Amino acid sequence: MKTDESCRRVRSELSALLDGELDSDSARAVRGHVAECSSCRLHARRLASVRSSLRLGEAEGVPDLTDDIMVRVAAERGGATARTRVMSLARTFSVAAAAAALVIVGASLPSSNRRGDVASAADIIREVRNAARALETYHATFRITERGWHPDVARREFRAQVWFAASERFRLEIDDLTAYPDPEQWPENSVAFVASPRRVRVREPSRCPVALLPGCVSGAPEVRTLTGRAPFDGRVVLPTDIVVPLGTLGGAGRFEVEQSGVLAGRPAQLVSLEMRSAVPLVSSLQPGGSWRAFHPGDEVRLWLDRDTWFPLGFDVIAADSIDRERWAAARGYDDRGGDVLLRVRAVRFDEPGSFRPGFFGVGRGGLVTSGGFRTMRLGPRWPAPADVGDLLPYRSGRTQHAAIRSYASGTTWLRVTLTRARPSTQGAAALDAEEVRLPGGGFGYYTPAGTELRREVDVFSRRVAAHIEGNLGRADLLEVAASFDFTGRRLPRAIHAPGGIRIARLGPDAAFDEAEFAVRPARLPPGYAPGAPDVALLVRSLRDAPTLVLHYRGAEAEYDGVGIRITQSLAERLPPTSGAPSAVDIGTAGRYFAERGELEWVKDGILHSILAPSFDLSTLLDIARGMR
Amino acid sequence: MEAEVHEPDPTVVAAARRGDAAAFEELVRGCQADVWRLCLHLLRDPGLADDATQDAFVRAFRFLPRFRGDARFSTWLLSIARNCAVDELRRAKRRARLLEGERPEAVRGDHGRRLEVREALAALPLELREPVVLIDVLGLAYRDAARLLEVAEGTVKSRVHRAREALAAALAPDAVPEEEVT
Repeated sequence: MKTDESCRRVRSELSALLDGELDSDSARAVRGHVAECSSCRLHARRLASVRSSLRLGEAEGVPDLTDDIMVRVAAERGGATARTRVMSLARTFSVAAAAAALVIVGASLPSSNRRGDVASAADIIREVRNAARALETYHATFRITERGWHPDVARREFRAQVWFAASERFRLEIDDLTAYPDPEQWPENSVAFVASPRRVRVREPSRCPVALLPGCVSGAPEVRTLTGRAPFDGRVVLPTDIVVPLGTLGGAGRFEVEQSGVLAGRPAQLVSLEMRSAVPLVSSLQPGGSWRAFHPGDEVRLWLDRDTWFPLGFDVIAADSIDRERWAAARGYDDRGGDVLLRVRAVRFDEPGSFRPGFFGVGRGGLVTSGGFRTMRLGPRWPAPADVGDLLPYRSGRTQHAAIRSYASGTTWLRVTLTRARPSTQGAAALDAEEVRLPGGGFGYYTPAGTELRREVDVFSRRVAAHIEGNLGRADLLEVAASFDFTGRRLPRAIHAPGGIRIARLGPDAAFDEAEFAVRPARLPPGYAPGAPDVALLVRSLRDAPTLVLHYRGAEAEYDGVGIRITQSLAERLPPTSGAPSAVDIGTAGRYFAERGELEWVKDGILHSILAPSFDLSTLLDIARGMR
Repeated sequence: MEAEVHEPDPTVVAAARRGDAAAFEELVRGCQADVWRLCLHLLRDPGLADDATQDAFVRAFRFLPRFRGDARFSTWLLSIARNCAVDELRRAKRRARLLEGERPEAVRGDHGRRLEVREALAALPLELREPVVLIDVLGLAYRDAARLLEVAEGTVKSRVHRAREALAAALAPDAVPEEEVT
């Protein structure tokens, strides 16, 4: 038991400890106390969280005053001087780093850059989709090098092994090969993930804020088990993008096709994309454990095997912008534009054909939760789609409130969740969805994919509501929705929700007529029509001021699930947030959440929000300026 | 781990000292964000921060031949910026546009309302705000911050800590009070 006095003394040293400003003896003493005193540990976390939120900079709110200053400096010198442009140091870095990355591949690129070898984006999307359907079994070994996770550990090395058997058997083992300065003080970041169709288990080191390292190594690895998992459950998504990058490349083609060549002795195709579009791939090797973060604008360079379309490897490269620098500084990363932050390389891979029984077995243990799904045959009162393309029936069964049918082939899947219709609340789930006329008549309500490539359509009959989701394309999914033995009902224009809330789905003109306070956006990026939102909702409640929500769903929506969403409501100030935004000056004080791509500000008593995960801050600012 | 303040290449500083305008322009490009942010946090007004930033670079250009390289260039430049900001503050006070301590919000959040970290920072007294801006927002080391503020390193250490404690209390007013520690 610690005394009040020693806690007080330790706490006065915590800030200096977090800043790395304590000498090693004092640091050891403070760490020792914190390791044993849960209340000081809590205190340290609070200080660490204040410190890290302060370290979020002003993003691009910082003005460029160079020209004004140089004019005044020239006057100071007693005359105008010829303006010579110097290339900024940052730019030189990024060019050098890009060249270095090419050298690595170039070493094994005898037939580099022969134009005829380069596939088109459409070819790649088609090939990746086909590969995802055809794949039955897979095994690969990767080497992972990560830089910048912690200032005392410049670089970490891992070996990852991946096994997959269609459609839901998956195993990933990550062994930490890093030589830490002191093994007692640093948690080994070894992670194991194993999934059989109905169970998933993760084993990872116990969590510990990076700011409290070294030290803070506490206890045995944590084990979590999920039982009764419904087919293709969205809460625990199997990280199959490392097997075939369907989620990353199979959608709307948000990637650049680069050269083809040879990597690790295999014909390879290089594509590059932004981190914000590559989350399913990069996160697939991080189902647990402690890893460094990446900025949404960082570049991912991915090499695909030209025969199998398996990833042969990828690099995550730090982007080069003021916003990126602020982001890194706030998190304590010492990244420079062009640095390779994560390098993943396949050492070997094969298609083993079969696995021994029990290879994907998931034992019990650790913290167990149940998904509440039981496999069973479903009777005819639960309708089934007549057309599921070349997918085969897969698991079906019940949860407490729903019946689920699923269909699969390789890593391609489709699932139909059926619930008994309750007309009063029907459609509340599909509120943000786009109303679509289905091919055979009737209506469906379509929601584009988020980063997990999970598109959704809702169709309603008098008896049941069918929620259809899968990693098929939009057109395929709408075909499935049209193939039920009932015609999809059109939902009422207005929905009443508990608490006196009324939500009206309106045409754009009616929406602006009713929300007379709202401002029409004057301009949006190419492919988005400011006057024609795909969804316009007016939300009214007894307690709060009305809110107008406009969804614009261009090509980006098929990737990030949003496209552009503009929300306006009456408010005097920005609402409280638990996030960590950057302050942005847009004529008035605003704030920007880089990770989710949202800009918020209050002007003339209206709270504006623009959410557009696939666009950068300058695009958001441009939209905002058009809303004055 | 440190959020590094931008420290320009010494050869660029040396070239600027010799009067190379292109080199000075590079210094401006590289350092203006740090200078502007320091000014913004001291002045709490973007327009005034713009003015102080420009003054700081013009003054830096004038004084550059006197820069001996015994401190980091960034520390030297930021101390000029701080002086410009303080001058600007005096002028602004005279214009009655901005008075130290006139902020309506107290540091401690009222009725448990969570204050935004930036709001809470702006509400800190200058004495605590300065070191926390230099160290957390700009990423200076304690030694450089102490040099810039012309106080002892231990003073910087205790002020930063007091500032963060005040911010933590303002941001989570309902958290466990210290008295409950046993």
